[in-house]
Amino acid sequence: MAKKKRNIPDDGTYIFPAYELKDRNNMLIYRIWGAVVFAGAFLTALPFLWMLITAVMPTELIFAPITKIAAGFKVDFSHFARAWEITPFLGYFLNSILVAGSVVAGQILISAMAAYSLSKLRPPMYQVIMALLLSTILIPFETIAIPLYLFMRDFSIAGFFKLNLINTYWALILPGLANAFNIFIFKSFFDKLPNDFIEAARVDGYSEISIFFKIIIPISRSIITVIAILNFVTIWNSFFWPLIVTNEPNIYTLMLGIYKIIEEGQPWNVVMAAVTISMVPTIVGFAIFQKQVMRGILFTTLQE
Amino acid sequence: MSDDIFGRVGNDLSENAIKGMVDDELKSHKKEDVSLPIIKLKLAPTVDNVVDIKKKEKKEKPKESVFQVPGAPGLISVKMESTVRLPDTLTPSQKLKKAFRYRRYGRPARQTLPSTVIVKPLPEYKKQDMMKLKGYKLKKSLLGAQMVLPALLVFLLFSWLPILKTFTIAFQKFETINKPVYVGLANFTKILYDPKFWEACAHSGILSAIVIAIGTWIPLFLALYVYEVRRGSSLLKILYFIPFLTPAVPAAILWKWIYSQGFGLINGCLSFILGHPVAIGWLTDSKLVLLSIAIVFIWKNTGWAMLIYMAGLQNIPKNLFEDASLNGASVWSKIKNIIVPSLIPVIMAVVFIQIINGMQVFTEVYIMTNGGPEGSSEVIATYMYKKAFLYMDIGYASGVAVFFLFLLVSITLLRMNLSGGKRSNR
Repeated sequence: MAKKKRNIPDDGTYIFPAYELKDRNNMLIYRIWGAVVFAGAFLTALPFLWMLITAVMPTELIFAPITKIAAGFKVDFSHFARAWEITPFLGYFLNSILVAGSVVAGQILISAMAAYSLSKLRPPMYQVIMALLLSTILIPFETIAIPLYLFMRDFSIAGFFKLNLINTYWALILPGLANAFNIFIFKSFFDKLPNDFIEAARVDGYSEISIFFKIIIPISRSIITVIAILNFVTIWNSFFWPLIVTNEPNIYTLMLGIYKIIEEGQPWNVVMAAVTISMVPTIVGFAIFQKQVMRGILFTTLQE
Repeated sequence: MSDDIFGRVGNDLSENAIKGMVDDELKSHKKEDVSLPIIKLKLAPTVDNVVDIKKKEKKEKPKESVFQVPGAPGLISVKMESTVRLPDTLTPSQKLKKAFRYRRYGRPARQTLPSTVIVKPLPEYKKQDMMKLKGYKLKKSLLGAQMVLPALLVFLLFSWLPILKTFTIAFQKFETINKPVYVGLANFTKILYDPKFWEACAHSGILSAIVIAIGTWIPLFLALYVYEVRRGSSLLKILYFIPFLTPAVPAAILWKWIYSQGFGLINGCLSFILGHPVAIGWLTDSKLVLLSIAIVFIWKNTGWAMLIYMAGLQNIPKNLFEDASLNGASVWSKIKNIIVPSLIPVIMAVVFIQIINGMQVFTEVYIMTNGGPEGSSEVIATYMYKKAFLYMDIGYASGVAVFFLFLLVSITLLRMNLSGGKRSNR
């Protein structure tokens, strides 16, 4: 007869499995810990709650103590209308979408092609090219912002096409295209793809270009989605570069537009209404792409 | 192995004992079959088969696939040797046991193997085919060059030339309207003797230090519980994660309002609790301002770090915890002796990413304090921005940028070294 095994229930836990919680001390620790964590979650969410409360608060209550606010609180949605009125939100939204969308499209095309070439086609000196491309991951954007600004101001390629790109979409889009981290992710994905796909396609008479567009791109759809979402969020949230290269309201991205509102000295409830409006796309986007966002963040952090 | 078993049985010939031993041995044979000989076997005969098939194909169709790469013929001749040898001299009882075993269970499969495999030489390729192959390879690498070209162009214009230009401008006196003049190391000496720059560095360092000191263990503490919790874990995850998704600009504006002196949420709550008006200048007191900014930073990144830690927790083998429980380990000792040691690579990743993000912080500082009361919250990025785009001293700002680049690259290299060392130790 085999020895009778102790029955350990598997409820996916580590330090507080069910059989340990029968112990009173452990139960106490578990309860207190839980209370702290839930309280922390409430504190984390509190700023957003305060934002919503401020946004619907009557103007005369803004500078009142908390007790008075609780006593005379009235819901007043007019600040949203006012915020919408004083800021061309629609234009900002469209600018942000245009910039982030074109950066993401360009980035993905460029880096997928480069990564495919480096991973499968192996052009001459591909190791040198790879080292040169991937070493730019180390460069923080702040350090190249100054020469990039000068370059955008006096844009020219080999002395031709002299242009001033400040306050144009080009200035916002072009520097975003160089992102070595995408190449790195794409390359590590393509390295894992077996060559059989590609060779089968070659035998079937596909040209190299159509192999890339008709086989590689559809296979890597999932990774493209993740990269696209993460980069879209990064560009959407970016503030430093738009602040440098734009100073006309009709070209402002959403983040810059929001920043300009507090410079105008509006009352805080209108500002908070504007902030609330500006956060709607992010929250909606997260609700739709929750899984991809979580996966992408884990992937990029643990990949480095 | 068989010697061992025969040694163990000795002269005791009870049938059950023999059966048990034989069972054991058979099991071990099965394992061996999986581990060693089959791999060798697979290699040799398949090569043999492939050669045969190719030859047949050659007879039928003279055309041959260009893509199959020939193996070197000399490498494949494999001499098979049975890994387990019975001793040559067996005692009568051992011979009896052997006979019994063979009659009952059949001979072990490996005994029937051929001891050597004869490898026929592979066919050579025709010259035409080789030419085709070469042409094809050339075409492939040319296409590869074409496909990598756009990336090279983009990186040349927007990464490499700017970084070179940062270095050249750092050696120039460059003020927007005037033409740049080469001044040698003047910018760098100016930076060395500039107390404001060193203050900015110190502020960046302090900010990162606060963020690490608080922002690494709180998420760990949260992740441990959220991983365990039976109800509401997804709610907790989303609540903690929303600040990370919030763009920096709205977050900074929101916190500016919360921190505001006299009417902000924090001071309001404090005065409600304490019963008398409180007016702490969270963003106007030069001693508190870095802490306030660090709190915003921690608030923003807690959910992210928690997610990373939870992914790390999934990789810890569960039986460690079960063993610990059976041995009566306390909660604290489980955390100290199992979780923290196995999470160290993840903790290092979080710490270094937070250092780098903390050194690079710009938006929060720029919006909430813009350098703060009398420069007491000036960080490197805001200092550089102001020098370049407000005071228009571009040469000096480039010097700061060069310094900043070296700082961040050295942090990254340090991180790579540390994590690389960890990996090789394993």
